[in-house]
Amino acid sequence: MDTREIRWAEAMRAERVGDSMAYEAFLREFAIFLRRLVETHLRRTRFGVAETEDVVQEVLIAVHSRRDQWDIQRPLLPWLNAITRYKIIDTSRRLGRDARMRIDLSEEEWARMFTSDCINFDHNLADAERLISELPRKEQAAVRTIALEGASTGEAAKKLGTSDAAVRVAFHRSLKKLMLAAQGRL
Amino acid sequence: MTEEENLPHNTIMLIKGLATQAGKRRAVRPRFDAVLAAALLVSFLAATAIVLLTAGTRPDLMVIISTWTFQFKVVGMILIAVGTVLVARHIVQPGVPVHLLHGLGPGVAFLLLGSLFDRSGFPLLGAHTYSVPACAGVIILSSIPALGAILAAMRAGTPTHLAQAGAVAGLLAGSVGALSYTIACLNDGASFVALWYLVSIGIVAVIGAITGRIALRW
Repeated sequence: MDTREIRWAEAMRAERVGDSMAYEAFLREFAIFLRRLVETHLRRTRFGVAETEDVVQEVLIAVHSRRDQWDIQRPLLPWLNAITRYKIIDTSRRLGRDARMRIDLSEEEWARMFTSDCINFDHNLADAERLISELPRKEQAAVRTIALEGASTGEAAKKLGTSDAAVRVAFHRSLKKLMLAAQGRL
Repeated sequence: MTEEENLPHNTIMLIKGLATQAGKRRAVRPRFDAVLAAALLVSFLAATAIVLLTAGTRPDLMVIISTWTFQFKVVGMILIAVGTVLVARHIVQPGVPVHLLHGLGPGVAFLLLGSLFDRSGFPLLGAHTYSVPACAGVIILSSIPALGAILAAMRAGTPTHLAQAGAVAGLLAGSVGALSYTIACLNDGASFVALWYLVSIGIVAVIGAITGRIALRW
């Protein structure tokens, strides 16, 4: 059998009893493997390095958030494979839509890009506030504390009464959503 | 490992963050089997309500309930529903092979054999000109809430082939709708049942495949 199957499955089992070292080692190794895979996949499309990172992180979060659902009795690699395949396709489809949206501007929108309105700081702040207010509550709190008040993730976690990791994930997710939202409304 | 240099800083930060959650479980996620069972119960009640509101029970239901023609429909639909449940349990698990034919085989074979040995001589197109559209229409209509409930249940699992998973949800919803419709169905020909019930279920499966692509995204 593939040694990767044995090592990674072992790490995923160790994760269940709280072995964060083994879990982190697995995630790193998996992420490196993923990057190569995603790079090969995206090379065929027109996306670049930033998108590769996006997809890799999406897959990592997906595996992490569904890790309870892996049945220990079954092999791990097919499970990882199916999730990876799904997230690569889903994310690159979304990126493709975004790319199109960025180019697909109406005459009016093109014209508006060159008016001074866009670089007006107050306007941008109001815009940002409006985008933030559309996020789920937990993510809103994370963005406000970290990005607007300048707290560290540790401080933010203490203030919001959750863990450091939860804040990081919330922050990471909301940044992604904000970027998407901002691009959608350019 | 020297290769770790390859990972950019923010990915490493993300990994460190995720790793600190090792062993920490959020509130226990409901198991897919339990969620699906609840969804099937809701589906069956909703489908029966729609059948009663649109077609009503057939007048001689109490008489025919003990006959083979009625039981043939019920057994056929239960076989398809049970087979599809087995497929559904696999399709929400990433990387688990799915054998649609194994699931549907017994039910379809039962219906085909039934129509092969059917000597009743009931017409394939039903007793009335409106038999086919009425039958298919009510089955599809009563399957729609079921489809919604089953798709929602599937979100408790992790489907990675969304159109396929949606189609399976549609098959299951369709068989629940058809099972409920047996109390109203006036056509007792086995070949009528085999053909038009399966066609109706197939249409719900197509609706499921289309909606599943959106409804099952995660």
